[in-house]
Amino acid sequence: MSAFLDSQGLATLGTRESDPAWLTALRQEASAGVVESGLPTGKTEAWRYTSVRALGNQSVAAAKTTSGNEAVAWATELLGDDGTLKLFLVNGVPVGDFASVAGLSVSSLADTLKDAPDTLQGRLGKIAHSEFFAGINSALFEDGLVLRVNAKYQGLPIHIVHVADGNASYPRLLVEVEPNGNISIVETYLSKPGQDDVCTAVTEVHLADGARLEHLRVMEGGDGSTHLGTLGVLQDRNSTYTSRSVAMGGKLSRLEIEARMAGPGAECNLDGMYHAIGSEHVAHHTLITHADSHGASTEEYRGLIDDRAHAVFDGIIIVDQGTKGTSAHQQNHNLLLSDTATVNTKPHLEIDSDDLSASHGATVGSVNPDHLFFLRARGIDENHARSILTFSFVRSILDRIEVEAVKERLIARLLSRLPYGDDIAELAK
Amino acid sequence: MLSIKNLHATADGKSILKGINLEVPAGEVHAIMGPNGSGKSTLSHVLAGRDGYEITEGEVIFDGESLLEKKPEDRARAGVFLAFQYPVELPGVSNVYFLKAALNAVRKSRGEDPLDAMDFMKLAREKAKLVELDDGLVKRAVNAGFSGGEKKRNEIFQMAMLEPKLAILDETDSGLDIDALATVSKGVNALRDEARSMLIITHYQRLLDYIEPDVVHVLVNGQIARTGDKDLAKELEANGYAEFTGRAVS
Repeated sequence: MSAFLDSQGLATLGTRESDPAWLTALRQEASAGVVESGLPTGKTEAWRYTSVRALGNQSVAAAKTTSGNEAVAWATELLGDDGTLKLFLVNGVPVGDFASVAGLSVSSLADTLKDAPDTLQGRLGKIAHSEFFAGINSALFEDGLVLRVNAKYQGLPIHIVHVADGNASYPRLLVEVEPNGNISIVETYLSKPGQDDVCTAVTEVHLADGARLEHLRVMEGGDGSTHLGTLGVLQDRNSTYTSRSVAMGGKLSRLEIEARMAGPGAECNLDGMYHAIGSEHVAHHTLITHADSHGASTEEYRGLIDDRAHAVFDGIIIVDQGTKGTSAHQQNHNLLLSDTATVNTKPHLEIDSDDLSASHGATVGSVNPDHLFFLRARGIDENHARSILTFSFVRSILDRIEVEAVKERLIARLLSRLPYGDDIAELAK
Repeated sequence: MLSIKNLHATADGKSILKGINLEVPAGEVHAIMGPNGSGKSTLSHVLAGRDGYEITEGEVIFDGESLLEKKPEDRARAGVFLAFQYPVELPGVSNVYFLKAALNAVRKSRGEDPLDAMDFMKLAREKAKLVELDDGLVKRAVNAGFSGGEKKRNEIFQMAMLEPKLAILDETDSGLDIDALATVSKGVNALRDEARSMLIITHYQRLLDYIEPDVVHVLVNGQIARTGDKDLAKELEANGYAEFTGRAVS
């Protein structure tokens, strides 16, 4: 038994006297499941291309932070003023006070569990699954954030900044968008440079009738960082959920998204942009379930893979029996920038209905030589031409980000990671 | 301006150009006509520097310098322009950015200062009028969603912006209806200049009704089979290429 999955460790660390009974049961079930399954190996389909063997020697003990202020100052400097309301978590623990605004309530998960645990029952741990790493989070999380947004909220986009400062963290987030609420939420996962940290994060989102959420989730770890994220989404009638996953940096960045369109007329859009360099590994696993009729889902992931990096896309759309008027379209496109880069892509539809319009497709290729020649034949340097074509391959995804200053920062970060990115600063404007 | 001597080229080991000799003095417009598979497009690609061809013999002198060793971008900067038969679509890259990058790369190689955004737009608006390309198309992504005619007008617009010494028009007439052909030709004619040479590559005589060549060459099986004046094009239109190929060709 590896240190990471030491059953006793999980059991001890995962016991909180203050937990309500339903949470104790949830934690016990999650730890038992994790201990039984062990670390996932290549034999598990969803982990076939992503090795977590190296985590076997890591400790599960969460990093303790005496004061998060230094980490917050570092992250504030990095992100700049982006016109959002920022909420900071260091190692999964909220730092600072949250002012309440009309239509928005923000509270720490630990406080909510203490003061009003009933408001979490039936949601926390019920929207996202608790297998493997999500299960470790369920067993071990100590704190996190609870956000409730109602239709009165008209304020700034919310930016939840997670900073990993130490070896292991278990951020947990619950977002409730009440009927007809409408909000943009950005989650950025950062890790302090020069550390080998493992961030095991779970975000659960519930959209009530007519609610709308634009949810940008950025994985921007350091060279030694591992991010194992799980995102669960539950959608009621006529709600609109838009996820944009951006991955740039981190030794291993993996996100699992499970979106369940439980009410009729829901809309679910999953977009993603990844750029993997060096020996980075980035993986997206998505599952959209059309459990009711007249749902529309779109999915578009575009990636750039350079050096010896490895990208994985595994997308499943399930259309349940008896549903009508479904539209489901899924795409994944990859641009290989070196001979040693690797992509595994697996778009997949499971359809149990005949009243629908659906499509899926995936491409893996290198820079189109005809496009390259066209630019060069107009006098543009080969390197400059390559960076134009590389950037334009993914820019449509970034251009859709609604929070302007955040979009600009992410584009600037992409350019800083691309060879000859400086040459195309004007193109990116 | 352009001097091609005994040019031989192969693609995938197959011999395509088999000893081309061609002189295009400054200010002249030469048409190269020929049946499908005669090597017309290969000649234009070899001159512009596209990958995938091996030059096995011969040389090309452009403006006093050997052309074939140069990279495509260096040929463009030296004044060679290829109007593509199939212009590529580049979603995410605006025409304005693309052309400004191209023009400033060319200007830099001539030792000129880059144009700023305002001067560039002024020039772009002026040149776009030559081919009746409206402002919307100038600002859109390169050829993305353009009609066949718009793509070809965009090619000539790029030529007008870059002011090459040698323009090679590779089957610019293909896919154009009669109105678009007239517009494109008008743009090309406006760019005729005593310092500029043009090589018009076409299968049909039709284009040459609009852009009148000084000299017409017939390319058959990788060699210039005959050279004449503009009446030669009319003769080909009437008789086809059968005389040269020994079989009827449409």
